[in-house]
Amino acid sequence: MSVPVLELRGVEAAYGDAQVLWGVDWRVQPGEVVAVVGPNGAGKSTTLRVVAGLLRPLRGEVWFDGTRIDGLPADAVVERGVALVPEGRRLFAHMTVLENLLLGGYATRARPLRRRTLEEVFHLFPVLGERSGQLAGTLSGGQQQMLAIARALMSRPRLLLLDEPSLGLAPVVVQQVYGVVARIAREGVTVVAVEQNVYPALQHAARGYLMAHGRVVAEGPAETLLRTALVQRSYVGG
Amino acid sequence: MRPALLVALAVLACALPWVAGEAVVNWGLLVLLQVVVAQSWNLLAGYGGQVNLGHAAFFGIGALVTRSLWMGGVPVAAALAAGAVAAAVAGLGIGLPSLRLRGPYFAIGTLAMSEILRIVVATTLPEVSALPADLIAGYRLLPRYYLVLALAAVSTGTVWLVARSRFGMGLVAIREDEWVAETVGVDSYRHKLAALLVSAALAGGAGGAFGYYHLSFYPQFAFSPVWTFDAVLMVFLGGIGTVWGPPIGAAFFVLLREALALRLTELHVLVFGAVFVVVVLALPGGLVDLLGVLRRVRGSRPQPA
Repeated sequence: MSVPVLELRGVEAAYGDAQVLWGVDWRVQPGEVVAVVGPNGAGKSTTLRVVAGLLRPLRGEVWFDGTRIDGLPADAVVERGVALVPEGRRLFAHMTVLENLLLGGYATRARPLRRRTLEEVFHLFPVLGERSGQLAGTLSGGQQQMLAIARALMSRPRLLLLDEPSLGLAPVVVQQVYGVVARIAREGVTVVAVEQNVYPALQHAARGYLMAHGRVVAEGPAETLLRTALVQRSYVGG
Repeated sequence: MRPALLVALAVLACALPWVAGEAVVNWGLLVLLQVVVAQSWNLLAGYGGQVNLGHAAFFGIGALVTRSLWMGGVPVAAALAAGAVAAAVAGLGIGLPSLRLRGPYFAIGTLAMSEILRIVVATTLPEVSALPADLIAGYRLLPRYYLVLALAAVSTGTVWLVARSRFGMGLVAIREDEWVAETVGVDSYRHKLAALLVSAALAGGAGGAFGYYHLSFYPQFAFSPVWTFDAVLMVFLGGIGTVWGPPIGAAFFVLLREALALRLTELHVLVFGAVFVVVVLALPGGLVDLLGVLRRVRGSRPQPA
């Protein structure tokens, strides 16, 4: 078996005194699209924060491409090739599409290549090329999500972390977003998408994790998990 | 700004003492001094989004150190450099603990620091409030004017460079959304700290020049919160987060204040307050936006290099 791109071993984390992760294990192989689903408060976003270096875990290890990255600051994690698309897009709303993208290419490793990356990104998202001079805050919801993903791609990641990419989007737009995610994955970028909404994520992923109360409660092929998730959902009553 | 206009302004500023009377040169000096104060505040707040409410502390430390060394016989240039370094060290002292935190801690910390310093200096060093007679006899305005002019050019040049640099891009990202800035690879703590050090050093230089210019010296004045609030006013009047807004704000602020104070004496504060409210409401981007409105010139946000 090949070395996983991302491996979490018994990750525990807390906000202040409130512990929210209780031993999370993930194993993500190169080129996979993995969905992480679960109800609000399950610890999905917190786990992404730990991976991205935005939150230091209490215990446990995070391995990226065979090296340990837990405890590294966020900017060092970006330099290694991990990019996070935050929940709610969080674009630089008062800046143009182009300025958002150029800031996405801030990392030392990505900066010399950013003209080329910009062309690749515009090829992937033609609408962003057409609207490069427009203020990011004036884009439609779907376009904003595309821009948030494109901004993350500007750092030339090998692992892309998506936090609730379908949030607030119409179903047809969600299909478009995941269509692009599939293309990104085909080009060799590993993708982990966290979603509260089980359907879009598990429909477009090959494999998934179901989380609840800060733990992984189920994992497996997406179709299997979709049924489990449904059972779980009726069980939880959500 | 167009190069021709910039050259014309530079020539005017250099030639001023040769074509105008001493009163006008004195006004020019006050404007240029406030350009340094405003630009130094603008660098940190306008680009990095960090609101420093204790800017007066850096100004006061620069004034105190420069003046003490200079009166002790150190050449003024060396004394001024020492004043700027001392202010930067103070910036490090307040920035190291408070910039790690997000929220109002930095603003509150700087405000507290400047008030503590003001009171401590005024009570422990009363003898520095002196007006030495031999210095009055040899006083010349010209070297003081050119010193302040050089500092104004350096501070504006610094902001211009930062606005075009990768460092400036990182600062703007922090200003817009610090958390996202970190997710794109900006080390926000180091960026904020570096901007604070440069800002404090420039404010210290301004204070040093003030200590050299203003012979009668009262530490309460150099540490007065007025230096902070003037900086905030000028930067917002002119245009925060731009290269040319603060100089425009400084010129507008100083000249209007002097003109109103001459004619209206105490009432000028009221009129000035009203003018400030009108400008902020009508031109939220500051007076520099007038240029944009008139000529459709874009502001000086960091442009893709």
